[in-house]
Amino acid sequence: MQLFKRRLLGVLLLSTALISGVSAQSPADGRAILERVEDNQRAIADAAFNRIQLSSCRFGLQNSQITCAERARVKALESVSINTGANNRDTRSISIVLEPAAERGISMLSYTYDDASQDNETWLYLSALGQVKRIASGNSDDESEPASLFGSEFTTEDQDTGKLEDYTINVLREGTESGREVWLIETIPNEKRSRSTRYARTVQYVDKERFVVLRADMYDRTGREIKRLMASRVEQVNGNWMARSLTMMNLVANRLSNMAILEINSDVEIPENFLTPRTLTDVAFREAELQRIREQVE
Amino acid sequence: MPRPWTLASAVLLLGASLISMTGVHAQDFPDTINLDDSFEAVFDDPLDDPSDAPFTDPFAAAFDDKNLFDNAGSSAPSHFRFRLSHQLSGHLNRHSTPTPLGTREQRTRGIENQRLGMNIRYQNPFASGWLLQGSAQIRAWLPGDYEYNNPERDDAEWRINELYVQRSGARDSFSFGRQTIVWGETLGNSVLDVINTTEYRDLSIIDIEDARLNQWLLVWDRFGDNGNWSSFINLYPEFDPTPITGSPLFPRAPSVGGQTLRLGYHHRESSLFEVGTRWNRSFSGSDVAVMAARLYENPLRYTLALPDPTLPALAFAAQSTINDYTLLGLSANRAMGRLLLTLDVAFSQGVLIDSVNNLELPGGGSIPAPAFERRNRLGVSAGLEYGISPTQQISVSASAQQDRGLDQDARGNFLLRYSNNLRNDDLVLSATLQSQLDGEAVLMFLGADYRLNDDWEINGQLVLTRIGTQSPLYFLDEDVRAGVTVVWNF
Repeated sequence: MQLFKRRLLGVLLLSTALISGVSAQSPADGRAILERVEDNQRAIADAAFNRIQLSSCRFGLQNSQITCAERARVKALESVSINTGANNRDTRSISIVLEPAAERGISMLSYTYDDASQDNETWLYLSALGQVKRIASGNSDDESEPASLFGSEFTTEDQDTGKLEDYTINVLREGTESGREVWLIETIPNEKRSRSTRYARTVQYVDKERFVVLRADMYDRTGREIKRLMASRVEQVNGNWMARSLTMMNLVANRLSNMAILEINSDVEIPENFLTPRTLTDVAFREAELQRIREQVE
Repeated sequence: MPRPWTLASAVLLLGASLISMTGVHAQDFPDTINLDDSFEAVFDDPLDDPSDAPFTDPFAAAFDDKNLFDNAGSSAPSHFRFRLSHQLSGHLNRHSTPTPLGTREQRTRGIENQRLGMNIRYQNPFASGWLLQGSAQIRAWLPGDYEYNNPERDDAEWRINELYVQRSGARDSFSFGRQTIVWGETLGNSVLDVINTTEYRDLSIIDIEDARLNQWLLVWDRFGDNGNWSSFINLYPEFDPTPITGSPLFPRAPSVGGQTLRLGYHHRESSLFEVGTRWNRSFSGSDVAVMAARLYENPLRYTLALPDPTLPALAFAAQSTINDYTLLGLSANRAMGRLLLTLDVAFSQGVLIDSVNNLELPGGGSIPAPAFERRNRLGVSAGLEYGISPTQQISVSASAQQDRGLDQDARGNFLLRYSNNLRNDDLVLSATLQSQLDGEAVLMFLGADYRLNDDWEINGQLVLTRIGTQSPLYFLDEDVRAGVTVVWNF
């Protein structure tokens, strides 16, 4: 069960971080750019029901193209999230594994708080025990290290587009990425933040028109690039631009994970009591509520 | 007992089977997504610096392939899951063991477990708010297994584990059938985890989760804004099964005065039932629960009955004693960053403790015989779990119990667990150290679980035990066991 002491919310927020609903004003202030990206995250996470394919494999080069060197391990997930709290800046999210069959029903509930002084919370359903267990997975705001998402290369740290006050932010230059004009924005954690991050420096490629992060390069303390995020399939969903396919490459382990958001449904009516620990254990309740949610989108 | 070469041969055969199996997998893996035949890739560049390589989304086809969610979605999910496993394990260390009588027993080496198992799980939310869930297991004992050709056992067994129906509404949930209830926060070492029955037959079972048995329960859960109530009635309380003679944990029946003591099944002379309730509430960073229950002590305790004329002359029958008691409990946890603290407290009123009576024999004379007296017991379990890193976890817990009114030291257990997940969780290395607080019995378990893919996995384990001479488990002293299990999920 250790395999799933992870948080999906982080990556979901990461995916929504690639969304922009604001027209470009060409702000030269990197912080302002990233704040605009961050402001759009919760809009996408609110009242959302998504279906996600999460694939991981060892990668290599073939014909100078990055490609899987083995059959990818594929997981099918359903995710439900709502925003709560003051100004709807807290998020509650539950993720449920549908496939593979051996992991079906494994689910994870996360409460993420905007207040830096409040620890995020995670519960996991341990099917062998028939019991919900609170997870000591740490808090993105303290000195915890990132946790992997369902054994993939995505970690909770990759969600940390917020907490911008913990970073020095510089616009390095303008450029192009995937045929789009982008800002290259460098973020360097401060001393406090650097104790809890593997990334000593990150360079994000933000689409100047759509405010979508098309690429992010992560470097360790020695200046070596250790991970790279590539975004593709940028589409407009409910008026917001977002990348529906995210690939995180671990350049040290030569492994990659892809998160394909196959279905995106927002403005879904989700009862607040669905985002409680009860949903992890009460399968009859969970399936009944999920069916109501599915019927809204089908 | 099989010869040592039998074990080695079996391991080799298993390894060969595994290699063969891997090949089968490579050909038969279902294509849920199209990855552009990249699996036959012959890499033309070293992987030292892929950073300059152009990126083309290798998973773009996922958006055109609906099979994944068509199969797993809400409309027609497969309600069944199967887990087929083959386990082979044996004792490796040939040595002699001191006994409580001052003699020594020879320990041989050889296979102890060779068994084929099938676990079946069924979960069907057949209507809105309704769930039917069941699980079953089938075991076949193969040559070398201690249960194979056991004159008191069949060479195969099956049993229903879970089988219950659940109805859930907005606030209430009712479930009826064979199910489990777990109380307490300290996993694997909680003084409150006493409702379920368990069956430990051998050392291949390490986690209590694998040994837990279900009972016939009616459960009512009430979910409120200020906490949740969960109440149950156990309509047919069961007790831990009697040990299987000849198993590694019970190699032979105990003796009294040099005579064999037969452990029989208990007789229900009156209807039994258990009842309990728990209230729990989650706070920010913490969960708290209080509970109360009327339970029967488990496992059963035995005393000596008068010699039964229908039994062989040198055999005593054991007489089971069913004792009910009251349990009051408190459990709590507190998460602080990467640290999770757990606490369980149990007060048991009216439990039986061991004492000794002289049993008068019909022909005159007497022998000392085990007997009981009622006491109150206080138990505490405390633990911590710590996330060393995203892939490494460590947990430490201790439990202690003391009977009130007796001038005795507390007794209990210490549990240390460490795990390290590697290669995107494909490989999980773990170590478990379990010990009595007085150090009289120590068990170390080293495990390696490797997932070949979503369907196949292989588990290796090494179990070492160190037991004091005066322990009832003295025969496990200095034992070394190794095992391997191949699992196919489908």
